[in-house]
Amino acid sequence: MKMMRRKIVLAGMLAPALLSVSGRVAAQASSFYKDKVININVAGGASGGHTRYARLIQPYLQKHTGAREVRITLMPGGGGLKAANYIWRAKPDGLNIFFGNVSTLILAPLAGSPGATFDPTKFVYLGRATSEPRVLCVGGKSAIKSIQDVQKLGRPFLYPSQGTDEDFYTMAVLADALGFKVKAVTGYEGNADTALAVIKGDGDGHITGWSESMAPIKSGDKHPILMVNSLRSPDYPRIPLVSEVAPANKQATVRAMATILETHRSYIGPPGMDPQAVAAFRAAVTAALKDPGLLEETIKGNRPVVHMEGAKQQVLIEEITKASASLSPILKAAVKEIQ
Amino acid sequence: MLEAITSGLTALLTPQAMLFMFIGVIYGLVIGILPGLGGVVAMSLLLPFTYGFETAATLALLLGAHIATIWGDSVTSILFSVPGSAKGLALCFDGYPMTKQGQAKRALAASATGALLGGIIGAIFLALCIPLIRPVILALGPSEYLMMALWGLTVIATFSEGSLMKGLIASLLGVLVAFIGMDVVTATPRFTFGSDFLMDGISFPVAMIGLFAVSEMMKLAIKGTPIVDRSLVTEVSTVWQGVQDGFRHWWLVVRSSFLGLWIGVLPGVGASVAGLAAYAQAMQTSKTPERFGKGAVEGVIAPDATMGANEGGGLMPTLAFGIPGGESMAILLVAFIGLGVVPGPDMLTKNLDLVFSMVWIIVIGNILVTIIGLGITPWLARLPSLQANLMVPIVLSVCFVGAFATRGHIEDVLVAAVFGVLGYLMDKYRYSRANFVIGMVLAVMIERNLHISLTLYGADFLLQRPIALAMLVFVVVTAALPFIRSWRREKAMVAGAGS
Amino acid sequence: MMGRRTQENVVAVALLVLFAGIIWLCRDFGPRARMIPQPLAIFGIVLTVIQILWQNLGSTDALRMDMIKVNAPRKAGTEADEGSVSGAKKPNWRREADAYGIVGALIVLFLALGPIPAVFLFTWGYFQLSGYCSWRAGLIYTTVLTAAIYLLFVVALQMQLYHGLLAPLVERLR
Repeated sequence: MKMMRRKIVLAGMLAPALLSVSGRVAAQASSFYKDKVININVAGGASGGHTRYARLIQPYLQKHTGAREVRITLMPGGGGLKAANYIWRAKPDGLNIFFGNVSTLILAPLAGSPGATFDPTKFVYLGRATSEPRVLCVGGKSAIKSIQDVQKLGRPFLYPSQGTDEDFYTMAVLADALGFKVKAVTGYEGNADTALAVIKGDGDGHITGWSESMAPIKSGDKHPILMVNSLRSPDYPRIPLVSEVAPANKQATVRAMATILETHRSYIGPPGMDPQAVAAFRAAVTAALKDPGLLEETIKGNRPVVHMEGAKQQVLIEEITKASASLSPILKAAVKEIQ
Repeated sequence: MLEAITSGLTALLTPQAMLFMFIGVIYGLVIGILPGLGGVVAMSLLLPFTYGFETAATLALLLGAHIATIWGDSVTSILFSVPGSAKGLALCFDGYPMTKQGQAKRALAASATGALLGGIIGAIFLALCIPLIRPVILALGPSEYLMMALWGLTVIATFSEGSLMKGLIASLLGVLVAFIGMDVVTATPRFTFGSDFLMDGISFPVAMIGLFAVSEMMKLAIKGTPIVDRSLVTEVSTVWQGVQDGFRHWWLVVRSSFLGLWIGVLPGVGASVAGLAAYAQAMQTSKTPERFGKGAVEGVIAPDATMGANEGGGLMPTLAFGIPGGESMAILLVAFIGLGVVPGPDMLTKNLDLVFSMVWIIVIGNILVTIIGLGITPWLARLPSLQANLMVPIVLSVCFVGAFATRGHIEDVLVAAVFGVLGYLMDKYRYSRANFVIGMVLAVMIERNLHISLTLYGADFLLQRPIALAMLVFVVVTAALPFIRSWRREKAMVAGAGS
Repeated sequence: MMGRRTQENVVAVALLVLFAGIIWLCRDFGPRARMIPQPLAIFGIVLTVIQILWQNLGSTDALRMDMIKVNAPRKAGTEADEGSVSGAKKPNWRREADAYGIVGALIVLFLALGPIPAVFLFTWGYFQLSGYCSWRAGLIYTTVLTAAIYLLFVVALQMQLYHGLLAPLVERLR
């Protein structure tokens, strides 16, 4: 009985997903992966977040693609570049898929980072699994209380960072858009180390994912002043968004940056991937991420998924290409600064 | 408080928690003994299996495994000079010479006892010090970390016997090898020759497998006799001797444990540095530093005590701030999130019993490891006397598979082989391998913290950071001390000869 | 065979070349990226030159002596326990070549066949060539070792296997 109900619920969840792609393709889509082996190349090591999410979704992906096996291959290295370079050259037969942080993939070539041998806009976007707003926090004891304080600081904003990660680039874009100066202090050993520098007052502030800063914000060690996201946070509705404080002529740049950051953890395929496979995989990702079994697990394990349709992602990525002309010089200048 | 202590213990005394602790400890011992794999791997592999169990049981599994890897790492360092992971390195310096002298049992037991005592001291101070952590963490910064790393460098002089020039060259080579890869400070790929693989740098455990394990096996193949030839050297020590050693050097254990606590608390300082710093400390404070590197039991006890205490130290910032004190603690933090536990000041009020559960896990886990460890020591101690023709293929095979398993890159096997040959040549021409590794461990820490200090405070950063300046004076004095002593001794010898 | 001093000189010259190469590679880096490696490499050259002078101008005996005796003078007995000391039983060059060969053979097997078959073949071959045990006993030991490695690394630790360079070739032939 319980099984029955589950199946009905499932069918109900599946229906809109399948309807979202054209009827004819959908009919083929459901059987495209039947009895095939899908390789998910995860851009991360065994203990990383990407791997844990990949494994969490794996059984549901298998269920909704109908594949014989969904194999997870760990491909850590170069901050995801290794896996991305691999998928860039992979056969576009739909059996090789990348999973990991796509934001860094888009940013690396824009910043002229050595080692990125691909054009991120030419990948096929297959659906997002997670996304979390990125937040700029200052130390709890800092004299800076708002983003306006940063703008009239009168000296460069000290920004501790581990290196050229996505938050480093975000900060460069923020500084350009909001018209203040940043002095990046690179060399810290990860976010724990930069958080401590901010709490101590060695640095003025840093950017992290929302969940990572939650505990120190609650305890008053850190104070959030700005969010890089397209919507305000329901938990902290008073924190402004970048798009609200940026001047009109910088809106395009800032929005492009928010879009890039919101790609976060996604499935992507090689350029020119088989259209049937694309349709089938996008539908399967959608169905998997709405599967009640998965949702139950995400609540139990406190690992939220925030889905976005692959087709919608693809449209957004096209827009980034337009804005990249303005983004690229900003990012390159920021990298130059620390060399 | 007392209530929290007892409720923390009772939460652990369920069959599930005890079973998980036992599984964790056995698993951790095995992982620790395998070359190239350490506590971080152990915990991250267990993580997926931890959802949906009791909180105390989950933590017992993870922490138990992590604790057990400490002694597991030491075992192979002592017996074969094969460091199980970066942490076990310091044990090669004196543990392996002890094995060669027929004191394997004593070394293994002393190492287990050191880890046990360190672990317990660490756990007790975790409980006592939580309120004091914040000011300590907040007082120290990059300039002070830099001085700590410089202090680690002072050990180089010890291993430079043969020629100080060669010793320094060896550590320079280590430093330069550490710079291979993407320099995150300046986003510059250095010495990568356009290779994707080299972008991530030379993996430290893999390099150690090569430098020590592979090159030792090459030597063994050349010699053709066991590491310990029982016809020449008989096992003269007992397990009991080692246990006694641990207690006899109690003051060293206490000092080393405090060092471990302190290093654990600092998020920017890793466990591999802890072992070296412990060794440096033991040697610098010893009345007979010349015994070090030749089988001094203090050189075995100190690193293990530090590593044991490091655990409690690492937990402190993890619990108090939600800021992990190291990589393994970052994994624990992930487990916390999965369990719905939010670290931060709340831990010390609302979740105090959970904190004490962890204190108890560290204590019980350490006792369990020591009991099992001392039990199997007599068997382990026989391994070095196995015939070379049996030992070489087995150890080489396991080492190469271990090198491959550290990151899953086949290129790492090649790196292990290259470093094996390098290690063999260094040993043959007496360029100290230990110095090479010390340079490699400390290089990045020195470079990063120097850059941060310069950017934050400018070129005169030492004048602005009085603690760092005081530490520098201390470093210079301790580095000069052996030279002064030796000069005095020589003068006395000359005077003695003249009269 | 080369004398000890010649060998030492070859090593030192190789080091000079290495340090010079590092200085040369540092040209392309920004000022911050080369701030530490470049001076260190220059320091390395200075040290190596001193070492070369020292080992050629000093007596042969001095090669084994400390330039500055940091610690107490060694007791005569402790020198002997290190098998590597040049004065100890000299490994002849054949045995040394064998040792390089062993490592080389294992690495070739690993790259060609992947870890598990490589371990099996290498261990069994080693037992046979060294005459450690009969082929039958060797086979048993080897099987146990390979199975243990497989269980530990692949089953318990979920290590992803590398299939070797040969596997794709074989597939193409099929």
